[in-house]
Amino acid sequence: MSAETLRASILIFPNPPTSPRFSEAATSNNTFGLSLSRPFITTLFTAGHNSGDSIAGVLHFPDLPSTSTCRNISTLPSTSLHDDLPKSNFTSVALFPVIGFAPWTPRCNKEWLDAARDDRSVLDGFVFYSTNHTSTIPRHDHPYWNGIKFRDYGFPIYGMRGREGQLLMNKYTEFAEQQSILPDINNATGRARVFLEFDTGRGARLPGLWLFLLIVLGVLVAAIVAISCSMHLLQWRRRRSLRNRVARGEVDLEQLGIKRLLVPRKILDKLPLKPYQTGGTIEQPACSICLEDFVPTTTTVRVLPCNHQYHPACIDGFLEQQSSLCPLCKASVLPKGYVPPHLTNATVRREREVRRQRRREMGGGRIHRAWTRMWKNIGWGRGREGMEGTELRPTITQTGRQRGFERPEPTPSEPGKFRKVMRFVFPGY
Amino acid sequence: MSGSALKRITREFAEISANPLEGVVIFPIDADMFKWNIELTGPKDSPYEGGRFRLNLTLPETYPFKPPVLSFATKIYHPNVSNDDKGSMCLGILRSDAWKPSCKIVAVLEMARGLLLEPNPEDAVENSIAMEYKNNRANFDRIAREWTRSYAK
Repeated sequence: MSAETLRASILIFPNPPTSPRFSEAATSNNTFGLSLSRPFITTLFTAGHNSGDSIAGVLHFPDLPSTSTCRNISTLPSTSLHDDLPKSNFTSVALFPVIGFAPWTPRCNKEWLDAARDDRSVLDGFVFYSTNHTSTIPRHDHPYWNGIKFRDYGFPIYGMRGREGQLLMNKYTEFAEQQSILPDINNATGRARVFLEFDTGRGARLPGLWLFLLIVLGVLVAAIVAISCSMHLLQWRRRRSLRNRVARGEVDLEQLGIKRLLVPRKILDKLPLKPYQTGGTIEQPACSICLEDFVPTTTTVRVLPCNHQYHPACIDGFLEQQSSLCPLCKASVLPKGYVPPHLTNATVRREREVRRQRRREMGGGRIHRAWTRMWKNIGWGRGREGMEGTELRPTITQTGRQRGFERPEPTPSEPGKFRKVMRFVFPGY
Repeated sequence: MSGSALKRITREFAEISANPLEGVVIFPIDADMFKWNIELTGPKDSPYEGGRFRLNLTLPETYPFKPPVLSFATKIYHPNVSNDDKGSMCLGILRSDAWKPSCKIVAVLEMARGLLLEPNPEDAVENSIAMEYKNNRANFDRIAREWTRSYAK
């Protein structure tokens, strides 16, 4: 992430050595503070640092090779050009992270960075400051950079405005010249260094735990979506298969007691309407629904495929809204291989169960029996039965026709919202 | 649907009023043709003789496609009548799979009266009473007569 703000303060390395501390609370005149935000700081290269990472260290001019012509840039104090890290016997001081610091000079920029690379073990980042008070450092793709590949350096590189850069520069020189010992807060002594910190912004970064939870949640959601999709696909294929088998006449949903079918208007209209004639195949002098006598050649009767006759006004509504079976003989009015327009997952499941039960009653596979027993022992089978509410359990010895529908129509009872959602997400189970 | 049901029920009610069944009296509940109150007289030569049994006949909205529901409001000791406050009766043509729209309420009432004369222990709701009816007829008759005396007055 790019740097949002930069903060500078004084860090004291006490003598005798203890852990370094900041001088902010000190009353001495060594107190110093500075802060700078975008757009006065430029991020040239992030080196893969994420938002929330802190890049911090004491300012340090990289040591240029003695042959370098950049050593005698006029703006630099001569004293600053040597390795001025407080290398006491206190090892942590030597290992203290540093931020490379150099004036922006198109001619020497590459040399600064190359030199800084030698300090990589302790280097946390690098910052260029403009030599002009009011100008900022150009963006990384500016031609003035002479095509320096920031990517080749493993550390983050920033730039800052000239005015603040000069301030830091002066402070740096002051401390570098004062090789001597500074009074510290507790009247102890120590060396002072400019400490620089880049803040890469915290807002966008999620704490580790939240991130973990988010990942877990994401994986869960992905798994649910995947399972749901495959279940939908499976159910769709089963519906299609059942549709085909019904169309081929292999399965009679009505007769197996799986689904109560209704007669659509289109099929109903194909059933003959005739004037009543006496002496048909079956003697039916009256409509057995309204009990009114038919008048020969005058009354129009609806003749079902089973040859039973009714007033169209009496039978049509029943066939359209309640049942596709003749009320008298329970023979289906629907043509063979008729596929109902809506085959639900519940219907598919019931049909599968009927088929399974048939197989079992016919002797079935031993493996299948063991499997069913296992499910039953787990108690899963019972739960699934309960879910459907009104389930018909026909047996091989009783077909739907003999048995009729003792229980009300197997349309599922109004399920709860949760169950509805579950059924939508995980269809068929 | 209920319009045609009402038409048919009215027709049946008229028929039954014109030719009343022996031992059956019908009191329609005002304005609601779908609920009938019936009084059955216990047939002669049965343990129910002398009793007057109140029955409720409820006709479904989809009548005559669905069978009527018949229940005894008077307590009765009978293998085909449930021994609870419902007094429900469910056998023969009263079952939805055996019911045909050509069956009439008269047939239902005749069947009910017939069952008082001759219970059907093979299709019982009260199995203990059915067992007693089959194996210990004398005891059954005695209890049925006792119940008739205490409840069916």
